[in-house]
Amino acid sequence: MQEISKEIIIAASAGDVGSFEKIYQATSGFVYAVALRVTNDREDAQEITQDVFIKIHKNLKWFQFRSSLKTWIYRIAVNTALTVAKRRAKERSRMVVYDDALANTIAAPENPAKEINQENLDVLLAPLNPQQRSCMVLRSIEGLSYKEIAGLLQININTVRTRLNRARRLLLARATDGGNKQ
Amino acid sequence: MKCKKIQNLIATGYLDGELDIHTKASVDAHLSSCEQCRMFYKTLVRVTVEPFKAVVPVEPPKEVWSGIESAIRREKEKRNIFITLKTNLQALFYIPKPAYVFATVMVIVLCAGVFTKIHFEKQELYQAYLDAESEAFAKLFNATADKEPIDNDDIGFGTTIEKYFM
Repeated sequence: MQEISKEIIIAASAGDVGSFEKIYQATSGFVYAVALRVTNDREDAQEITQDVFIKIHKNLKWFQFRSSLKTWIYRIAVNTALTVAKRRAKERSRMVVYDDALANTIAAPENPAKEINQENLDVLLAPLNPQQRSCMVLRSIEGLSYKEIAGLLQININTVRTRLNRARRLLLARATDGGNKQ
Repeated sequence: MKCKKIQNLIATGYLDGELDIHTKASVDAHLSSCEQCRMFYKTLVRVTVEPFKAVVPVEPPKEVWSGIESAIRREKEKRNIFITLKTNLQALFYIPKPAYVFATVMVIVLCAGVFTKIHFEKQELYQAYLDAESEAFAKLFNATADKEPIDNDDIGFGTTIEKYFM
């Protein structure tokens, strides 16, 4: 991932909105994507993205360049998204229509390039809890390494491995059950 | 290695390319000879890897940045209000620096004056007391020096027993 220059960070922390917009342009895609895929909700994802950047703008003057700015932003984003997802998971009684989604997305393995939109992805990831979901999103969609995921979520690398293992086995079990029902 | 362990490796490091060369070679060797694990691997790829490759990238809508920008502006305005308030208050209660310096010097001089006065007054009183004392002693001394030596024989207490012995 391409780093944001120190000059831009200093200018943004001094109150230059133009520089802060550059930081936003460089990182908002990831923040929004993770928020959307972890929470399942566009409005929540927009709110999270907004909150994350307002929080970053307020605290940018305290950033000490010990780690990369992107890592710091992504960590805030993932944690905020996870908090919202956990809250929503409690509130919502989810209707899992996994079989339909599976039919729409993976039932045609001969056409793997078929685009998957957010709705299908939501259903595809529905059986996973927020922790497993965030690991799957960061690994399988955003392509982060185990080490990067562990750093962002501030967990042990073995925990990343365990969560991914459980998540994939859950998805596999759902797919197999769906196949048996048909 | 047993199938259970191999399948755990497949579901994590093998799928994600995070195994070391030796472990990967062991899994490859196992897969070439185990039909069950090979099926597990193929299904896992079909169900948990391929669908995610086709995920459409997303970008936040434009209104997200507008919201952030207006929040930043509001924050700035709020901060500006506080700065203005602070400046106005400072102007209201402004006392120029030289005044402070002058006042401080005056207080120091006053304190020093009062302290010195008390000190000297005390010293003068003490000196006066000492002088009076010395004068009294001197008078006493002179008085005794001028007188003739006392004849012990003339001294009597006028008692009968004294008369008897004398």
